[in-house]
Formats: sequence, structure tokens, C-alpha cells
Amino acid sequence: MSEKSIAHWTDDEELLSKFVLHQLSAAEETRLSSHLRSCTRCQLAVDDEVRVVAGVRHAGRLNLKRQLGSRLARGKQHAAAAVPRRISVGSIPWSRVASLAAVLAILIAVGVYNNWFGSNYRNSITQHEIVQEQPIRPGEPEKKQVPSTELELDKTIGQSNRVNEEAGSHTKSMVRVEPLKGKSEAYSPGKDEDLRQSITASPTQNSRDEIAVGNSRKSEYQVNLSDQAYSSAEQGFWVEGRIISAEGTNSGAVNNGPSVERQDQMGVAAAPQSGLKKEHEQLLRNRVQQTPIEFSLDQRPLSSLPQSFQNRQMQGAGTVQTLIKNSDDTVQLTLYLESPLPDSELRTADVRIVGDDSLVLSLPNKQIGYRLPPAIQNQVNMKLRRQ
Amino acid sequence: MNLFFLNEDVRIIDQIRKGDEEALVTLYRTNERQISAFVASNSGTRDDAEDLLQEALVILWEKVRTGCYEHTAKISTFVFGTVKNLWLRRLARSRREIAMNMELDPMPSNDRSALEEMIESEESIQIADALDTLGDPCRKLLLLFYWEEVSMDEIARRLGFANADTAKSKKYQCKKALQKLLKGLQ
Repeated sequence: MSEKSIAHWTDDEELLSKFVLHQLSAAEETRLSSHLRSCTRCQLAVDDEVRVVAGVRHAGRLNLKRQLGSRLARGKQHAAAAVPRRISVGSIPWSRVASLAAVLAILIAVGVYNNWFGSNYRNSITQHEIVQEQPIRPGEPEKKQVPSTELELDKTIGQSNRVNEEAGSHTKSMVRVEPLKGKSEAYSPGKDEDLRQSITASPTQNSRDEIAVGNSRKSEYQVNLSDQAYSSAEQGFWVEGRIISAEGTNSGAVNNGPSVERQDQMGVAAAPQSGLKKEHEQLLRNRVQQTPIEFSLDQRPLSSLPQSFQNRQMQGAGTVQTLIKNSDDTVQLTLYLESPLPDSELRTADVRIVGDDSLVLSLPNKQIGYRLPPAIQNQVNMKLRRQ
Repeated sequence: MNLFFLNEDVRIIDQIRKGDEEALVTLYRTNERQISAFVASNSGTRDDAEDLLQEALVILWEKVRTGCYEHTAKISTFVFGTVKNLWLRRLARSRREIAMNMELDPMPSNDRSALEEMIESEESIQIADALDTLGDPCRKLLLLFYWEEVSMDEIARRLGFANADTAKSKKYQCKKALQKLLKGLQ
């Protein structure tokens, strides 16, 4: 090739491309390269061409990569569509499963809590609690109760939901009555002992007779079972207490021993009227030698009662729905009140058995009388006999 | 040498020469596991492995299409070796970039190859973008000519030009347009 032909050989587009693409022979390449050493213009042309080639090849690779990626993706889709999807551990949305499990655990916890807390006030009926169903109508002579030994009582476990509808009288469950002892949860042991000693011995027929209250006043001391004790689905024994006196209880003075005195100090409720007061005092005297039985007091809002119970309390003015429950050590009285009593009143409250079928709860401002269901009475008697 | 694999390789190379991209898909599936394991064991991710394998296959494609591939070993060996070089180069580049970014002064070393690589890479990206801007038929023509190194007669046939000279003329026009675009970007 002549010098003229080699000069600015980069003007030949095809030659330039072939040079850059190494499509020339080695000898040709060497010759043309030597020109570049002395020709800036050609060198620049070659540099430009090299950049274009590099850029276009880069674009080509990118394009091919893109096409390859699309093909691979399409292939995966076809493979996934063709083969039944197997659930693998990796495909399980574990985060979603964990979220659902957490929600389920919370729901179960709430349900368990509600169920436990909702029934927290119920005492479980022990194997020694039974159900007695002995309707007693107001004004009628007390029916002879079915004799209930402890063994017989045990046989009727689990029957706590049976309801005797006769004359509105319902008894549900019987509470084992431990040694009587008027106490509230805040009582101190020393006071408990005093109170224990102040309660008289087991009721006898004579004692019953000595309870000189006429039928008309009987309800003031005794709970008429036919009206007041009734069933509930709860475990325990529902008794409707009658408010005997709403006056202060410090006025009475029953001088039958230290315990009685102590009762005065603690605010034994006075009889609402003088005649009743005397009868009450008589009762106290009769009971002063009795062996005390453990009691404990609790109070709950009326709103926590089942609706039917609330209605009963609303209907019967001067009544207090009370749940009597028996545990190994104590008999618990849970009062359901419209407005709570101060703790001091509960602390100073007194509970005693009157006769063999009644119970009197003495609070500073009132006395509440309960007619104990026969089963409780029998338990009390048995317990007392053991003492 | 395993004749089965040799025959398979020959078939694949033949496919590549004919421009059948399915050959690349086959090679990808064949080498995917091995490459993934290698890259993962060398601080790489699954995405890195996929990208590197695709790049290696593209290089293979380019070499075979331009007649620069010498079938002296199994294709999988070539692919693995290419991936390895690409990955090591990438790691080295990232280390240099990290070193450069941390330097407040201009890079102390006289390592210009990395810088030149970056510049060249930047230019290539610009040209690739400009090529996309050009659109068809210039884009296809330039790709066929510069990347696949297809003859002008073949280009004329594929793109519907009258003859090779027409294709050459068109190619010159497209190149000028590309250069004009690049100057505008600079």
C-alpha cells in the first residue's frame, strides 16, 4: 500500500471497522498501527471506533442477558404451572402462621382468664357438699327434713343444679359448716378466739323453743326458705338474707360472758324494737356457750349477680342476696350489695347461729338474718357434735 | 474425556452459532447449582450467582458467535472459569472502590486500571443508552455488525436492505447518529 493510501486510512469506514474488530491480517494490522503512531487524526478516529464497538457490545450483552432472564423466568413459570405445587417448608409463610398463632393464643388466654375469673367467686363444691331439696313454705310447719348423714349428703354431689320450684322455694347446695366463728377476713386471731368462745353450743329442741318468736316475727330472725333460698347455677348456696335491723348495734348489752360483751363492743346489732331486742338477747344467751364455727365475710357488687338474682333483690326490699360457701376451714358468706360496706364494718361483723336453722350476721349498722337450709343445719349440728 | 458431554457441548455450540438462545437456557440450568455454590462460598449472594452466570454465558455466546471460542475443554469448565474471573474481578473492584471512597485525598496508588475500567464502563453504559435511544433499525444494525460481527450481506438480508452497500451506507449513518448522540450527552 502506498504512503498516500495509508494516509488517513481511517477515512475508510470499512477498513477502520475491520481494524478495530481485528478482522485484518496480522501484517495489515501492524502496518496500519504504525501509521497511528504518527497520525493523531487517525488515532482519534480509531479511539472513537473502539469506544463505539465497546459500547455496542456492552449493549448487546445487556440485551442478551435481558432476553436470557426472560426466557428463564418463562421457563420457571411453565415448570411451576405444569408440576403440582408441592408445599415445602420454605414456601410456608411462617410470618403469617406466627401471627395467626399469636392471635389464637391471645384469644385462648382471654377465654381462660374470663372463665377462671368469672367463676372465681364460686367455690367448687367439694365431695362433702350435697344438694338438698326441701321446699318450705312460709307459715307452714317446718317439714321434717330428710335425715342427712354425711354419707348421704355425699351421694348427692353434683346435683347442685336441680331446682325445686315448689312455692318458689329452692335449695341448691348445702354448705358444710365448720365450727362457727364469727369473723371477717380482717379479724385478728385473738379476736377470733374471743368470738369463738362467745358462740353457744349446738341447738337443741329446747333452744329452739326458747327462741320465743312468733310466726309473724320469725322471718325477722330466720330466713324463710320458701321465699328466700333458691337455686342458682353457681356452686355454693344462695340464701336471701333479711335485714333485721338497720340501726346501730352498739346499744344492746348482753351480759352473758366475755364473748357476748365482746359482741357488744364489736357492735352487735340491736333488735329493732324492744320486744325483739329481748328475744335477740335471749338468743345470744342461748348461744353463748356454743362452739364457734369459722366464718368469713366477703362482699361483691350487686351487678355481678346473675340478672335473675338482681331482680329478686330489687323486688325484695330489705333483702341481701348472699352466697354461702363451704370450704375446709371456713364458711364463707359473700354478700351482694348495691353499695359496698366499709372494711371496718366487715371487720367488726359478727356471725352466729341462732337455733339450729338460722344465722344472724351482725354488722355495725344492721343485722341480716338467714334461714339456713336443712342440709346446712344438719352439717352444723354434726360439726357441733364433734366439737 | 466424556464423549457424552463432548457431544452435548458440540451440540450446544452449534446451537449458539445458529443464534439459538435456548442453548443458553440449557447451559444456565446445567451450571446453576455449581455456580451458586461457588459464589455463595465466596461472599456472594444468589443474585450475584445468577448475574455472573448470565454474564458468563453471554461472553460464551459472544466468543462463539465471533469465532473466538476454542473448544478445548468442556463448556462447563469455561463457564466456571469465566464466572470465577468475573467474581474475583468484581470483588477486587469493590475493595478498590471502598478504598477510594474512604480516601480523602486522590487515590494514593497509581492503579489506573480500575479507574480506566470505571471510565470505560461509564462510556459503555452511555453508548448502550444512546443505542437504545436510536432505536431500530440502527440499533439492530450496529448490534449485528459490531457485536455479532455479522457480514454486511447477512445484515442486508436480515434487515431487508437492498444489498450490502446499502447496509454499509446505513451503518455509517447510524454510527454518526450515535456519535452525535454521545456528544450531546457529554
